[in-house]
Amino acid sequence: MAFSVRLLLAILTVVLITTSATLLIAQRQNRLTYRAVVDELFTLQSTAFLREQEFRHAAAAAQAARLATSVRLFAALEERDPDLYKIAADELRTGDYAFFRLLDRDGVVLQPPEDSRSGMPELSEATLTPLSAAATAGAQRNDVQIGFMTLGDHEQKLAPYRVLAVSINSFGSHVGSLVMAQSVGTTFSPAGPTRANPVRSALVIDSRLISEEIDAETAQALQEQLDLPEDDSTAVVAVAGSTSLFRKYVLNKGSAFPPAYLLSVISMASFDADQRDLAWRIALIGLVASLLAGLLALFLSRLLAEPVARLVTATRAIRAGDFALRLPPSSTREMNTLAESFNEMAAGLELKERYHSVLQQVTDPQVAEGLISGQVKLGGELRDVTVMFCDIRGYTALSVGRNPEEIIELLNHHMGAMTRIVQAHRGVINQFAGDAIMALFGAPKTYGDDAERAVRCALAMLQERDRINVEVAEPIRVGIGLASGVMVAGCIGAENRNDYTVVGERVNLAARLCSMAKAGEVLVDDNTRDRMGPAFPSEPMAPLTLKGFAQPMPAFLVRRAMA
Amino acid sequence: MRVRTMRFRFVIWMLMLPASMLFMFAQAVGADQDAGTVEGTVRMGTSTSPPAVAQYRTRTRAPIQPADGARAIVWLSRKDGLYPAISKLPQAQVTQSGYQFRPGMMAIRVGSSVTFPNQDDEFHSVFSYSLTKRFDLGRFRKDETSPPVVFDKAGVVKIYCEIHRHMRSILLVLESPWFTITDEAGHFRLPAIPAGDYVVHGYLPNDDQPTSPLKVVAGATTQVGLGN
Repeated sequence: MAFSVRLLLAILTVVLITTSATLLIAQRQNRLTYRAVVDELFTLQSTAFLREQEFRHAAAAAQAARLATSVRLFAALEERDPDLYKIAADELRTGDYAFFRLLDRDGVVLQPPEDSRSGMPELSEATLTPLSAAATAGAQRNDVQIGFMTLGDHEQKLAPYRVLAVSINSFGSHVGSLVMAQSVGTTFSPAGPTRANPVRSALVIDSRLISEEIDAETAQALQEQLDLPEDDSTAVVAVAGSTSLFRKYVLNKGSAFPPAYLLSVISMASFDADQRDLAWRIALIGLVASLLAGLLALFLSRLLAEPVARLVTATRAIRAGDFALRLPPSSTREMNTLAESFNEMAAGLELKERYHSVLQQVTDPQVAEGLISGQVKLGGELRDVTVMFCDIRGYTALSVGRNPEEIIELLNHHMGAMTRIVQAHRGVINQFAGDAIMALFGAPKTYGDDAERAVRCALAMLQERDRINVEVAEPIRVGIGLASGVMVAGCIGAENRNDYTVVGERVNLAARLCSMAKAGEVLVDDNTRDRMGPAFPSEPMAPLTLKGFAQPMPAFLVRRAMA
Repeated sequence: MRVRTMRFRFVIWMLMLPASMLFMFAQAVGADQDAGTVEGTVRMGTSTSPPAVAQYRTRTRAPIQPADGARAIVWLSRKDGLYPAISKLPQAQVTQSGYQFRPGMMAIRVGSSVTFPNQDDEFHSVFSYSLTKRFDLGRFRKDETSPPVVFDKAGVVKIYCEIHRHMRSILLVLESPWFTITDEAGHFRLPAIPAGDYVVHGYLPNDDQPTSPLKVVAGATTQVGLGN
């Protein structure tokens, strides 16, 4: 996989993880904060309402308690005085009640006379019976019992009432009970639900929901949840696709009356919308971050890939032998170092290659290779070598009237052609001396058939020369001399400048044979003739009397194969 | 002079006549020699609720005194409902003293009048919603005289003070002249009861009203036990 793809994937993964984590954490944090705020709101709302209720309870309870200890009412109830209700109304003094009823000691409601001030004369027996039950139960507890009830008002709408029941007694003798009801307001907060205070509240009396703040749908959903836990726990209810949180508070804890509740509800719709909005925003940020990260990855990978690509190209070029290529400086420090290092390496290689090529130019490739690989022993050794000399017949005539460039070109062309033939026959060019070529077969390395190859090479050279001569304007003719024998091979010269060459009398013999050879002739010594085998027919020549040789040396002319 | 004498005699005569009639009636119904004595004990039972002052806070200058000890009223009734006439309207008194009605329980004959003098240094109020006698004297102080209340119907009258709700008194208005109040142990003695058949009634502090038939034998003492 390409580096850029990996980088892109890595960055995208990081962006994705970061975005998701951010989203999760943000939403979770939001939810926690919101729940805390909701709890706070619930508490505030309920506290305000409950405190007001408590205040009203206390006031009503005080009123009821005063009535409960009224000697007059006690006496009147004890004697069932006809003016009982009148006395009670007088004793109540303030008119802060919707209605009140007196019960005898058995809990039977005493019907008020028609002109009484007890309120709501139309109340039926059935309505009052549950009250009397609670009042009777409350009588045994000897304190004010608080309950809630609903009554239909004029438009048949249910209105909530707070009911207080208190036993009327005096020093242990119970003569009856008083039941007093007050209208309860359903205004839970002065301004109603607002954006800042989205709590909607309702009263729950006898499993009926009474509120002007809660719509029918929510009420319906809540109705099904009414038996959920009370107080201190916030429960969740689903209303038409969105969720709401609600909480119940008992309004009359420990009362003989059935419990009534304050129900507070907060719709989560706006919060959920906010959460979705947040999710979208974070997703958008993630998307933008991904795009930026992609671009960044592209940029970074380019920053890296381009120098790498250049490096690859350069490496390939170097492998192909182009050492002149240099890497441009890179923008990143590491890449720059690498490029510099590479350039240094390339320069070194180039230098070495130049040395190598120079070495190859000035020495034979085989010798150069041998020298480089350490196969050639510089110290010198005795080797059985066939030495070849080849020079141009009539060179002086050839060079007359020519400028040096032409001469060099002519010579180089000739030498090049001859060198290729020698090298094709694994011969080693030992030196070019003027118009002469000196080549070795069997040094620095022997192939076993050195003499035979040398002869074949010599014939091939003549043939090549003939072939070239047909094409060029200035034909060149050569004569070749070959001699074989044991001679000293090694690098000869000064400390820092030497040549690989061979030294021995056979070398001189080869040079003499060459000079004796006429154009198009190959002369060999006896050793060579013995070694070249029957494939090359030869004819003896008159022995040569040579300087430095005591006896005349036999020489043979190798017959050129009849093509 | 003669005329005056005649008139005087007539007046004397007219005065004498009812007196002699009364005397004769008294002789017929319960002459001393035909009378017996009723003695006995009333078991008070547990008094359900003696007024417990400590149940509420009072703001009186002087400390509240304890109420009178629990006693019971015992009276005799006749089957024929005939009782000796009252020679003189008796005047009874229920005082308010030490923040208590005293006596806490009292029997009177029908037609008697009762005054309720306040002997404390603070206001008291006296009222009753009893069907026997419904009256309300309102509040009055020590130096204010309250009008006497005439109880002209037989029955129980419970009397309260609106200001001090522990204060209560029970007046038993009776047709019968034969009644007494027991001591705190429940002992009672009713002397000079004409011999005959009676029902003996008790009125206990806890409003129980036990009854028992009784035969009074001349010159003898009949022992009676009342209550559970």
